[in-house]
Amino acid sequence: MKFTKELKDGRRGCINWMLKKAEPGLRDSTVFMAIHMLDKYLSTVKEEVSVDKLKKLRVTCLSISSKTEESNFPSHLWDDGPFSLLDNTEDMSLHKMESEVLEKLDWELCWITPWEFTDYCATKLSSKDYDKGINTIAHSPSVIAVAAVIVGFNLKIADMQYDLEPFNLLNITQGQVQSIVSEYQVEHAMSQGRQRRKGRPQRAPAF
Amino acid sequence: MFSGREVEWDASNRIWSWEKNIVYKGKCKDTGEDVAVKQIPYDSSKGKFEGIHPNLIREVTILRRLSPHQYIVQFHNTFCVNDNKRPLWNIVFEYLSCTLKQLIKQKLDPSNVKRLIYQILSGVAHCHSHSVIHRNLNSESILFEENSRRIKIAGFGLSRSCSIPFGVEEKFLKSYSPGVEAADISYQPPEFLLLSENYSLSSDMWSVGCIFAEMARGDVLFEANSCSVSQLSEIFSVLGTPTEADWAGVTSYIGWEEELEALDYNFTSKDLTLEALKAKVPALDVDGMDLLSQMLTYNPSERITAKKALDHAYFKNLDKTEL
Repeated sequence: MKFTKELKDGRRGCINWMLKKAEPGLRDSTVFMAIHMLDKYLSTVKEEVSVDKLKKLRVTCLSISSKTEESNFPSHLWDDGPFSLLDNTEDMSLHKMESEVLEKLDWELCWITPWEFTDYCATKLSSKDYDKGINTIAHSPSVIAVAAVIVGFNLKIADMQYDLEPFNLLNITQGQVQSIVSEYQVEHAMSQGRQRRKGRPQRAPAF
Repeated sequence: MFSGREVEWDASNRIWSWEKNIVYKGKCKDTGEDVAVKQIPYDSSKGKFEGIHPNLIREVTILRRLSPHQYIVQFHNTFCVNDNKRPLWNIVFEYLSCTLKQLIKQKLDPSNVKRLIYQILSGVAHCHSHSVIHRNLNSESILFEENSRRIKIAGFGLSRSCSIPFGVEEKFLKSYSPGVEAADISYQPPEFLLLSENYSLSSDMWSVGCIFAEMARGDVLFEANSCSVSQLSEIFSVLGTPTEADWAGVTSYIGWEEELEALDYNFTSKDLTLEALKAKVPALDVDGMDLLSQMLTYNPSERITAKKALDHAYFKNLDKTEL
């Protein structure tokens, strides 16, 4: 399926919706898994996905991921919450949608999202709050996480002087991280209209 | 792969049930191959249907990750049938007639114990390398295939994905619902019994230790008690009461009660603890005892990992070509 502008906007809308519904109560990893599930579904289907379908999909993905990831079932999302939207008909559309998504993904869920690593990496460097980025599927989750944290913390990107030593456990190389960091830098510079500020960017990038 | 239409089973041929989950012995219509069919009905307490049961999603997605593997039960398929206008999900596995528990009853000789625990550790290492905590390893969730003389780990109904990266400090561990109530209490690690919410792969290793001892002595190591406190005191009576020196933070778990403090099974040295364990499992040699004590270590972060256990001296004379 073509990744049109409508779909891109629709996807962004879904992600914003999921992030909003996840507050409060759901874990970050739950939302991340849902986003990844949505992406994987969209990359698998051949036919156009309507706006209406996207709305159903965002509920379905978040429902499946909270069922696998949360230890306390988020029933508040059902009791007249967003999940009941799909469930108030006799034809059990949530059940149908969940079956459709899971079968389309052949019951393979993405368990390891960059999210698992970002929390860990960020805590290793600082106790401060940090901003959150969104992933790509081109790199391994741990590398994306480290890159996001490095950019987010304004470490010395240009001079490549950041130290990967705190992340030894993750077994990643500087080259892997650098490729994402520089990708971000180019994009960031372009988005700033090539008027790069002297200071470092305030927010972590949206990967 | 089987579709729903290709499998048939007789409702009288139940092989296992727990709450509303039932496993039937069935047959594949085409090939005549025996299969096990597990049914998970949706239990909606509010009388409202809320999609597919979480346990089914967890179990199937975990099996999709782990199977096929020589020491993991073969997963065939999952399908949905209409049961009085409500969907009823089924999971189809390979059928194995013998559990490890039944095998233990027939008494295992030391070389078989070594071979089987090596297979179990290989299966557990496979789960762990795919970031799956089994959470309910016991002598009945491990099956035995008589033709190949191989064990197969089954019973993934309570399994969860674990914290990534591996080997991090406790504060980074994912939290789960405390003390997995459905799991067999005899095999539960002390952190489950103390109602810890943050645990990881090492919890499975305690259960593996209990299974190892059970195979070597022919009987359950820690007999099941009615509650977690009496289960803990059963463990303490063999391994000693843990102190903050053995396991930092042990007395601050919510499940830690004064009753336990008062027990004071005081084994002052490690040697004495080993003596007490040795008395329970006399059939194990020195290397076997060393491996067992590393699995039954109180502090979860000091417990041996499945991968490390496979390289333990206990297995040096095991013929790995005949596994």
